[in-house]
Amino acid sequence: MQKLLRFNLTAFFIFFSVSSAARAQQPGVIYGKIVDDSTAAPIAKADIVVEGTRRGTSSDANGNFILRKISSGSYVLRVRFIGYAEARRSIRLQPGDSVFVEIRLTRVLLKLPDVNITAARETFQEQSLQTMPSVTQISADAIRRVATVGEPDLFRALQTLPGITAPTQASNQLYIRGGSPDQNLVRLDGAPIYNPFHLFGLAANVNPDIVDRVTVSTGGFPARYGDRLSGVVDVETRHVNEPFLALGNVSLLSSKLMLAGRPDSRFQWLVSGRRSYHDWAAKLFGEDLPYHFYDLFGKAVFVANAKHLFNLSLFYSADILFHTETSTIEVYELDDLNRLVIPPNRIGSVYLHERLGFPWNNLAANLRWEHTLSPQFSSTLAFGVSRSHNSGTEQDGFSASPGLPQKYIDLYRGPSREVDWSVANTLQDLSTNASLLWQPSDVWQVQAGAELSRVRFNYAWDEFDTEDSDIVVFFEGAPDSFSYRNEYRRHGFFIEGLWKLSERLRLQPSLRLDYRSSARNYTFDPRVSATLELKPDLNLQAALGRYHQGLTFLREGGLFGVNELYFPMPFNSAATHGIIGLEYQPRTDTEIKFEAYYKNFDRQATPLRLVRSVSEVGMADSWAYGLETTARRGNWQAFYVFSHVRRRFNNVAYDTPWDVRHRFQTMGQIYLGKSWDFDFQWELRTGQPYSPLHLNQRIPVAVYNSRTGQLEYQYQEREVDYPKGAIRYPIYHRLDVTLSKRMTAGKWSMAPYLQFINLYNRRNPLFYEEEYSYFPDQPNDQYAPKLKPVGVPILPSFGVRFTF
Amino acid sequence: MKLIFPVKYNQHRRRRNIVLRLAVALGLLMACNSDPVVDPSAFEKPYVFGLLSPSAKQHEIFLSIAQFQGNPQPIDDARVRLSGPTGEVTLASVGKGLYRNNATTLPISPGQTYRLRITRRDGREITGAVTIPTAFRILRPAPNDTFKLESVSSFTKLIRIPANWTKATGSWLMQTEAYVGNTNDRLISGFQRLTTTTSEAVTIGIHSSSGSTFNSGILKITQFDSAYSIYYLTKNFSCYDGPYRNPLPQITCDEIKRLRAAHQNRGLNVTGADGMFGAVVSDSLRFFIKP
Repeated sequence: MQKLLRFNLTAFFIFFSVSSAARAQQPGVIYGKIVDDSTAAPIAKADIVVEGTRRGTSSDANGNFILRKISSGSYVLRVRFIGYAEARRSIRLQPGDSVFVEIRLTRVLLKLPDVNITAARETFQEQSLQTMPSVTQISADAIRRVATVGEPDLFRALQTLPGITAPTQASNQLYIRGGSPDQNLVRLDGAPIYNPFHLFGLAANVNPDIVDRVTVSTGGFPARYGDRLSGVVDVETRHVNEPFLALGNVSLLSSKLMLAGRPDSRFQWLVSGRRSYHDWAAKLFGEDLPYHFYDLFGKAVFVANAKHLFNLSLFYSADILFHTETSTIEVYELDDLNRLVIPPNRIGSVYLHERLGFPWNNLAANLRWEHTLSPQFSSTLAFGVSRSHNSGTEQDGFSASPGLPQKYIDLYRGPSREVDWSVANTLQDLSTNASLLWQPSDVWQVQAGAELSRVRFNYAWDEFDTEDSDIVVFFEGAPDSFSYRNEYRRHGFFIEGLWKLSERLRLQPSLRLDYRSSARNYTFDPRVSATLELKPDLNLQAALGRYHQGLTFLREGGLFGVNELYFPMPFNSAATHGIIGLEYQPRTDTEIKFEAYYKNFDRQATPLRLVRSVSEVGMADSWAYGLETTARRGNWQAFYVFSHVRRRFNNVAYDTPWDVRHRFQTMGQIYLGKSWDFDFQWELRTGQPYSPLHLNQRIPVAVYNSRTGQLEYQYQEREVDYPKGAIRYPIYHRLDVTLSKRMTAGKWSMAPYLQFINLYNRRNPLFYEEEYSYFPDQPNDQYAPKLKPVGVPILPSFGVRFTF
Repeated sequence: MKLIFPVKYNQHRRRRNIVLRLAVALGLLMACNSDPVVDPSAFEKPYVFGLLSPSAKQHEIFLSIAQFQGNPQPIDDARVRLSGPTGEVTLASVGKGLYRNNATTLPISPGQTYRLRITRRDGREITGAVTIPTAFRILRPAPNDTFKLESVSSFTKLIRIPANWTKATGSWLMQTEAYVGNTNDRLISGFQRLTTTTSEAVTIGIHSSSGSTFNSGILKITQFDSAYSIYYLTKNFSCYDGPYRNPLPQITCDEIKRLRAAHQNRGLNVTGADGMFGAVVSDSLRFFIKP
């Protein structure tokens, strides 16, 4: 306690001595904008250095930059960006002054050498990311390099990160360090997306071409992210710096096109679209495959002046499964006793229509206003809407040829007009976020904000056979018809600080307060992360935090994951994260990381039994711990993860379906020469626990024979309640390779590629099916099931990416 | 032999070796096992069955273990002991999971409690206890009563026997059986019904095609203890397919479902295993038929 007190006092004095010195020097601020000289388009990530000092920064997505605590005097700002001539600007700074400069860079034909900026980066977001452990940023290029079936996929790429797993090789769901997918916040330009999947959960619905970078936090994230227990996937879309850009991809799965432009410095736009075409391809071969998906994205950024920026993003994705079939019955004349008139006299036709529809879609829109109030203050106000909808119906219809007598219509109509089943589920989230960033000095900065969110649920199904579906409801009985309407309101407030206690120690304390209408109480989440520079190339990072969540869906892993139904629970689930790690970067292209974590989850909604028979849900507690070791060098990466996820429910503890005890993965890119690239990815991991959907067990049964007065014995097939986690898949390993060639022709650049998923055709079971075989040693022709693995075989694929 | 391009040759050979080793490694990886890794303790469940009866000539216990998949395996190396008010006996294994002993060494008496104790080779124990229902007797018909054969059609003849009996304490499920046999006591026709009451209108139909001569039959009443009653009703019969599957009109499907829910996951009168350890008592008499 005394040590803690002494540390706090020391920190207090350091803080005040630094602040006092800053006030005494009356420093000034230089801020401004970097733009293209010809188009006036803002230039992001330009390097700005104050010559003769160690001070520098880089411009943000809108070309803005700020340098604080600059002593009065005359300086020269040097600005560099690849593809542009270096620019210099003289500035005279009076004590306490704030000087705005706009620096225009001129394009050059010669490529400038890469610039390494060693000065401290000063933006809040950048510093925050450096202070948080368990954060990975993935670029669009890295996503494209991960081999996936058909085409690059955002979530498949994330599953190659340590700490992120999927319950099966088919699933696109993200299980982050012991948490389940509903405990992750997935955002696209700030708007949450609830079911971000195409293809029944096999593919992400975010087109990788529109992605600039993805920030993934597997734990210990700060208070600005609320109402999620486990992880954050923050997708930031592309910033457009070019006057015009087109990107495309043609693959076996779909084709996509992205167009973007920046006609002047104040406006940038981006549109993209993607559509699968196996429904059209099937028609060419005379087959009927009545399913396709598409997604659309549009974005507009308008910079009113140096102080105001408006960003509008619109996203829509849809999957459509729609099948109709009409069968024709020829109607012949009948006599009064409904006997066929001889000779047969055809008097018309009746048509039986079968319709099966199952569309689902996602809509997300976000309008953001960024306002630079002064060099020290900036604010952000955002309005967002996110909607997830799915519906399905199977209906039989009836029609008859004109003029057919009513007698025949009545005779053939029968029960054909009845609706077999229908479901319609909609979730709609309306949210408003406001935040204020105060950057009084380089030593400490504060961001505070508020969130208002209202989520409406409207779920209904009719005549839906819940016995055979994997839709889980949380009430007794699971009736055939079900209607659920509810509203979930949440008010959240957060405050985050960034405190540079010394040149080597950065601290990021944060605090979050949430009110949820479902639980009707406030939750209070303190969180803190810190980075200590032990050596110039060695950092120690740690984080500790408390998290709460009110929404959940009621599944526990499965083959696929799509159209999950979120429910507000009358209690708040809670989690605690603890992380400690070492980050060693001996060279600019080499990094070695060790990270140990512990997560504890309280009060998670959990199905009582297996998917097939679940109609009851209770509260479970989970815990997860692990050690992640990652090494990266250039284009090569390898990691080993030890982890354990366990859940306790009804006084029984079991390993969850996403518990992967050991996992090793290596991936890399080898340049073969002559613009040929070879990408590989090999993974070896412990098989995960699974619970079969249905699997019978043979048990002995006895029947009393009154004639003999004895019991007689036989075997009986019986579905048993399998203990969760008692079966594991065998060891999983898989090699994926991609061979690609880069080609350019004028303004066009192309990259045709050939991929092999599961190159050596390893039979990793996706699931087991029961195969009945004869057991000759058993009496009475007894048969017993044997498990046969069903998995993804070797899958070749090819496509072409192009840019102009 | 002189190599003209030794460097290129070596490079080629080295590459070929690498490719060969890679192919072998991939082949080995392909050959890996794809069977699931099972925790046997989660699936292997022992089952024990035993039904004691005062009229049985021998005691019999069946012991088996259900597997993750495939047929249950009999357990033949356990020590099976049965004890009662007159002592304790050890049943001998006769193979296929069966343990037997002559009933005379430990007579089963109505109203008495008997205990089962099974010790498996690994030391795990299965125990059970059952109280035999008390003795009862058939009140009507009297032994050797004679019933007249009725002709209901040119093909079918009927025998109607009103039956009553006393109720054994510890039993609520009963079974009425009546058989008509030929002169060699081979079965010609019969009647069998479950009941929870102590009376039954026994009707036996005999088709003329049987062609046999007959003049007597046997009426037998069996009363089960509660363990076997619940086991029997919840094991075989389902109400999902409609009430016609219900074997016992006096007990509703809802009641059978309730019994199933209460007992499906645990052994009846048994601890340490699934299965059942129950008892039956019975009484029977011979009746005669007058053409």
